[in-house]
Amino acid sequence: MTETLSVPAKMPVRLRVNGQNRDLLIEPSASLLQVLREDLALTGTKEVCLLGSCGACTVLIDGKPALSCLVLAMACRGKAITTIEGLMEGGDLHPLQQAFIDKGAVQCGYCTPGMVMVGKALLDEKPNPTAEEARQAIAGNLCRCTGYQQIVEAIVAAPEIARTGSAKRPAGLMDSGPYLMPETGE
Amino acid sequence: MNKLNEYAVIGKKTTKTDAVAKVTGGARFATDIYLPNMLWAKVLRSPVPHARILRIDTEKAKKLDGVKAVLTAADVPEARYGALVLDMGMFARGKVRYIGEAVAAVAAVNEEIALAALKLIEVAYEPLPAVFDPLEAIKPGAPILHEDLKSYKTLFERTDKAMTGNVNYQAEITSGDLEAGFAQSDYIFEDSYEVPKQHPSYMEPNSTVALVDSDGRLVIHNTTQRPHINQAILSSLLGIPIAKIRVVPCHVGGGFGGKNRTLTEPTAAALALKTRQPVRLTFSHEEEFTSATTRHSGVMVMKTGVKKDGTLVASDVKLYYDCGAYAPTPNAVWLGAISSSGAYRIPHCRVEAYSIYTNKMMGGAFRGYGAPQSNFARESQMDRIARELKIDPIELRLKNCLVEGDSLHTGQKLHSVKVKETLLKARELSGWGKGRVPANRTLGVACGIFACGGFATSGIVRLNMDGTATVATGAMDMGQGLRTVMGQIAAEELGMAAEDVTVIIGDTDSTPFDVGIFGDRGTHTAGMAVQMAAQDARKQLVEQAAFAFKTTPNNIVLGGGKARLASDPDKVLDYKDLLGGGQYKKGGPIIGKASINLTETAFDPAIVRGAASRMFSTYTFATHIVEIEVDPKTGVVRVPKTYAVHDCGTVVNPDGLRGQIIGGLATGLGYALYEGVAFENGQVQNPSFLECRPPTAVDMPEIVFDTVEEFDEKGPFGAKGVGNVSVINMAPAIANAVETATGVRVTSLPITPGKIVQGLGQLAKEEA
Repeated sequence: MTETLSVPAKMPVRLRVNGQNRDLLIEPSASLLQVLREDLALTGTKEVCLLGSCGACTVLIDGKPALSCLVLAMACRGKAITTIEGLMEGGDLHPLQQAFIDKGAVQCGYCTPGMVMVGKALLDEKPNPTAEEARQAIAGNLCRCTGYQQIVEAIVAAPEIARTGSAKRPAGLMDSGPYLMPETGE
Repeated sequence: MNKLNEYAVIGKKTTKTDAVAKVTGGARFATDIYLPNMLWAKVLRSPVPHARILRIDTEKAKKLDGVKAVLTAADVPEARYGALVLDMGMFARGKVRYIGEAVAAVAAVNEEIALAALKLIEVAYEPLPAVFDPLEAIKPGAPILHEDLKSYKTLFERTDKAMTGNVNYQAEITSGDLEAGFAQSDYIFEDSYEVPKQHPSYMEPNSTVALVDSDGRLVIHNTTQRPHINQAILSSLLGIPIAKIRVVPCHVGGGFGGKNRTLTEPTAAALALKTRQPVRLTFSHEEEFTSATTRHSGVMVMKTGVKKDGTLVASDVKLYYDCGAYAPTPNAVWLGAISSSGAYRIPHCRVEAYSIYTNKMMGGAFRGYGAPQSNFARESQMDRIARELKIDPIELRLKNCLVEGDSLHTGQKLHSVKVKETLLKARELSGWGKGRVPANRTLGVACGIFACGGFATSGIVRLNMDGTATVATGAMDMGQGLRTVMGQIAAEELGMAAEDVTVIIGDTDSTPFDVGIFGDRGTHTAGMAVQMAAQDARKQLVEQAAFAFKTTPNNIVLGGGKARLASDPDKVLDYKDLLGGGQYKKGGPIIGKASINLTETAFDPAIVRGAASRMFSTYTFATHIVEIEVDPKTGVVRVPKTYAVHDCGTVVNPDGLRGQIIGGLATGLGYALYEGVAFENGQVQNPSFLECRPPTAVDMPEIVFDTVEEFDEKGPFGAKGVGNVSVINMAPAIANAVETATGVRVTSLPITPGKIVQGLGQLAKEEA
């Protein structure tokens, strides 16, 4: 005799993610994190503790940093959600992304998306943050690799990169870049 | 000898090759893999610390709609694995030995069904007496965890005390004449220190996706520091030939030793073989804290004999490391024994080091690898000696520190020893003894030694038709930047730009063997194999250029992606032109290769018994000075500033070096002040980042960082490692500063406010 687990029916929802409307059928209890990763394949946002203690799942909701593991996806209707995948503009890196690369702020990279998102929220609010302000902004985000110093330096350096327009179009993205045939350019 | 100025790539700012992918969300980790028809695995874990398994009934679970497979020990081969002691199987067999041990596993169409199925598995346990303290566990009559211990296979030379009772691995080091040494001493100090388990707290959980591909081969996508060892272990556990297994690691979201393990791979693989569907097994955050591996907790007893002038004469050390219920890496005890004499010359030494079973979660590898424990004892006691003898702590260290050509207590002769220089530079930077520190702050110092490099590795360098190079190494990048550094080493050797070298890591189908990245062997040892493979390729490239120019190889100069005639520098050929046409004209494409083992010499059995390795390639040193503030009312310690000076050999990647050292200091800070897995009858009491918290950005001190560069003859371009030694000094340095500030000597970690307040109360009582 086979038993079947009873699960609530899925519900339709429209979410606005990285500037695009996405129509989905989701479980009413699904977190925003789960929907981003599993329904929208936006796996840049990371799942670690599911307790709101580490900051790895941070996204922006209407421009403010939010822990997507603690937010129901259903509660995000009508709000603008920005994830790490939505930061590049016209194929160029965001100045803060460029700053993370230039300052050696990336090691294993698992905390990086969350760090970049809280850093961006800070820069949107305070265009020229001090090191102390940057340190306070990332105080809720854990990183085991870097000891945070180079992340703080990257946030402080980002405004200069924005001013000089020195954020680059990434050549040969390691895991996701297009491969071009050298002869035909295809 | 500093050759830094001669290099084009080594020591120059070089962008991390995976940084772009990681700042854009594009880097793929094992947890990011979602495949069609993928099943979700969950593990049923023991709720009791020690019990006989009377019966397991999986029938109800198997009948739940959506469950595709349920496995227990009865369904898998009876095989065990481990680094030195082969004591652990895929599932508990006959007995459970800790709360959190795997008893059964389920694969189902989604996570909810897999979790629901676990609740339907019925297990009958007969509780057995348990033991949680390593010193209790070695007493006669203590509950025995592994009754058949003597019959287990081991990969080290067993001492009399090894593999008896609850002791698995054991080592002894004796040098000089201990009794004579103590007889010559004016003072004898005897202290005992205790440290808790510390979780590696990598951000990314352990995770594996296993599948059987269309050729019938088992494919593993995982997060690991040792793909080739994973492959070998899977082969032995599942009875499949190595060539039928392909391990393709993803980006690793932090390892620190904790992923020098094989935890999720065998279970996911067995379920995939059973169901013929892709299976994903990811540890929950709580499972990380109950069923992964931690730094060994332990007790260190240290007796040291000293002359009036502070000269260290004799040292008797006993290390009792608690490895938990299984010993996947008792090597930590061995490395603890090596670091236990500190960075000092002590003529008469004895070390007895024990790895002891208790009914707790497993001790494994974690950054510092056995040394944070023994160095906490050594460096705490050094300050006590300095205080009693009224000698400045740095002067005492300078008086006794190892110098070039000295031998360690193991009998190994040392080279590239710059600990004295790190002490002097740190003293100068911190203004030690100069009264520069603000009135409410106190300084504390510690230095240390860590074994660097060794064991088997290999590299392959292929030169491509377009003038670029492809490097393959079995060594893993766990985020520290190994991939970038391997590229720099090959580029320097081949006379190319760093961006013209692509490094392939991990995939066992396309990379040659490496034993795993741990113990400061990435840059130093894997880098050496890559350098030698590049030298092999370079030699062939020179021959090809000589053929093209119709000259002799010694007339060829390589550099900047071009080959030139030494006799006529205007005659130039781009690598692109040389390799594009050349490989068809003269004997196929150029492939350089090297297979090496930098631990070749065995220790002298008259000095070392039970060695877990041969002699290490070299040693790294560091001095750290902390500036602390203590609130005498609350006992809260803050560390606003830290001076860190490292003897790191040649610097290959300055940003990577700095990041790795500051990260190591952060882990050391956590070990000193905050972290410690707490147990109650074998049950973890704080299984999350909320309760067992690594340092945050606002806990971190301002870091003043410097290096003492020295060309290490065994490393590529003279490089050594820094990953481990950066962790081992923070706890003793802070404990030493706390005593200077408050008079309270804290001999156990973490140094909590409670211990300081209690100590202050005790001091007040003694005065009154």
